[in-house]
Amino acid sequence: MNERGQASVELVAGAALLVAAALAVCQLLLVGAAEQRAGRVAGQAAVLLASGRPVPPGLRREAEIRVHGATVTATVTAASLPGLGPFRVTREAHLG
Amino acid sequence: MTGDRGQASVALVGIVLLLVAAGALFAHLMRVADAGSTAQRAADLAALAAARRLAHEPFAKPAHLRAVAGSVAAANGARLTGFTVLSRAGLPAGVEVRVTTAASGRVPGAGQRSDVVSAVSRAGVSFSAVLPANEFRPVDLAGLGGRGALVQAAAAQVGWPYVWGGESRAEGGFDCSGLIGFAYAAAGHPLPGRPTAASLWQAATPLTPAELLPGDLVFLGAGSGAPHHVGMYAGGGAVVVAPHTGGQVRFEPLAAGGWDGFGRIIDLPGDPEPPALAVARAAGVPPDVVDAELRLGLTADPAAAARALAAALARHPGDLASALTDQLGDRSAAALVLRLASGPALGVGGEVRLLPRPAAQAASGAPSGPLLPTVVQAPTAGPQGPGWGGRAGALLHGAEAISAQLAERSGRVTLQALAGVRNAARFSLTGLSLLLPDRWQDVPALAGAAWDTVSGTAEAVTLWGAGGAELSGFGLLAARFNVVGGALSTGLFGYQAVTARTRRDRLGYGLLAVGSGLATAGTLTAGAGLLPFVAVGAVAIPPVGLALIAAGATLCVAGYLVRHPAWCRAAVDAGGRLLDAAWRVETAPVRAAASVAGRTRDAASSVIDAIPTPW
Repeated sequence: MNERGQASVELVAGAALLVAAALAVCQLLLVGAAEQRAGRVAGQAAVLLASGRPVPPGLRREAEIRVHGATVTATVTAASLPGLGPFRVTREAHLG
Repeated sequence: MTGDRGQASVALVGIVLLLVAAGALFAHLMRVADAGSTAQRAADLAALAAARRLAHEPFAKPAHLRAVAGSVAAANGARLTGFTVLSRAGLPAGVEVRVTTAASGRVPGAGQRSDVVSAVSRAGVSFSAVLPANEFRPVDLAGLGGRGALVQAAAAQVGWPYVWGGESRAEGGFDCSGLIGFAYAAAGHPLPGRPTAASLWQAATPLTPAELLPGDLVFLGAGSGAPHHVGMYAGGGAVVVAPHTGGQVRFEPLAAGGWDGFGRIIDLPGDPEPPALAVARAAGVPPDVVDAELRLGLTADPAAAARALAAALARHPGDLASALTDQLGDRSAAALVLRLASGPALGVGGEVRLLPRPAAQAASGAPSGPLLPTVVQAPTAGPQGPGWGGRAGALLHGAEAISAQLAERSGRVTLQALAGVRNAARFSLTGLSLLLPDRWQDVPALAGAAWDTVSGTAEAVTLWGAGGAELSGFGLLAARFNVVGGALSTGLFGYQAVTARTRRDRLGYGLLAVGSGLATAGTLTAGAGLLPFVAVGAVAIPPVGLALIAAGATLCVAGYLVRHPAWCRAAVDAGGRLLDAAWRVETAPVRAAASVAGRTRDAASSVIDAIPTPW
């Protein structure tokens, strides 16, 4: 029975490790999704500006958009798990 | 119970390996997707940048536009691979750019992959040009840089009233010296200060009437040393002049003006006359506009074009841009004509926009479409990557590897490879089995375990004493899946054995757990080469490992049969019917064999019946 209990302890520890790994993966996915969104918003804003059109408010709500000369930057704050600091992801697009 | 501890560890390792493999695959797919987005964004921005340049320089060289597109593509992480200036009716109308980006990464089982993602984008340009309504029109000086520009600048004011002190249309008109000062300034040779007839005479080099060339000045009252009137010789014995209060800027015969002084301010070369000068002057339209229509190929008959423009000007008096749009039926073409006719003096703008993919190209699959990136053949494949790529990236690589394995071995696929295929199918069916009736759920798993038994036994016997079963390509990928799936199965079966409510299930799941564990351990005897990111030499499962796989698979078969006694009874009954049939064959050897088989059958039935189904 001791060995069986030890196996149970291993399972519990393994499960905890898996949960931690899953949370880390989730955080990475959230950051990755934020990076994707920042890139998409930066690209869309740059295309609009290059076409001579203004950036619509709906796009500005998705990310913090800044224009410096011919460079458009979009910054998105990724959702973070409790206890982890905010992750700000910035991508840029160049009008030329 | 010692096995429980090992099974838990093996299950944990298996799950971690599964997560690592899935993560690496997912990461590569994300890289491919990100490369596609990057390529499309870069293509769009490069096309728009080149289109904007085209809008401001309609007749820029394609190399210049390509350089603009290339720099913008590079700034956005892509490489320009194609550039075309689009045209409509012979006029520049937009650009098409093609770019590529690379998504490189290591995929478990597939080695280093380098997928090149391409994207195409097209941007159109609608040119626009606005001529000043109450100012001098650049088109009136088109192509002229010498004496012709002076004359044309003054002649363009014909009809404007004489205004004392006036020197521009903004002031409502011109006086005589104001007209001269305006003409010189418009032609690019501004005179110092506000010229008067006297100051012009002072600055001029005296000439005889025979020496007059277009652009030279004629004076009245020069004998006094301070003339009070001035005009410009236009050539052909005519002078353009702002005559007096109440009059308008007009042409006068040189001989009729009483001019007594002649001079030259600046020695300028002459200008060639536009080809359409005669017909344009006859129709009363700017000759360089007609000439521009000829040069752009919009017309082949300058006289007809001049008449059409004159008619359009009659419908749009004083608005040459609208008249041209009316004549040509295209605002963008009219702007291009004005730009060519006016030269750089006329600023040209335009609206740029991304163009949709043409329907014909979309239907034919031609690589001209701005919306969907396409994955093309990688120019530099990774050292272990397949030579022919997959349009869907790493997800399809498994199918590619199976095809390559089949082609490579001419159908003699190793048992390991088939086991890998079977395992993949079994785990897929396990997921789907939730939708199936309970009694069918274990059918594919039993078939797989039986196959493992046969293949493992056959390979163990065949390769005993040799180096073992070498793994490469898809066989290695299948073995990796075996380890991960086997570890996962061991854990799940062990858990089900512990929590089972009937002795039959406890025994069946226990056999399955032990069998899966043994098979996984057998595969793991191949060593560290099974790990996806470890580069080693040849990877092989030794004969002992093959024997373990065979033994484990046999236990799994037993486990499934224990869990499904009805299958066993059906099989025994079928065997009994065969034995009955054989008993009827009147030969001693057959009867002897049937008798032995019958006793074996009875014993098996007793064993099956001895396992109580309910608790």
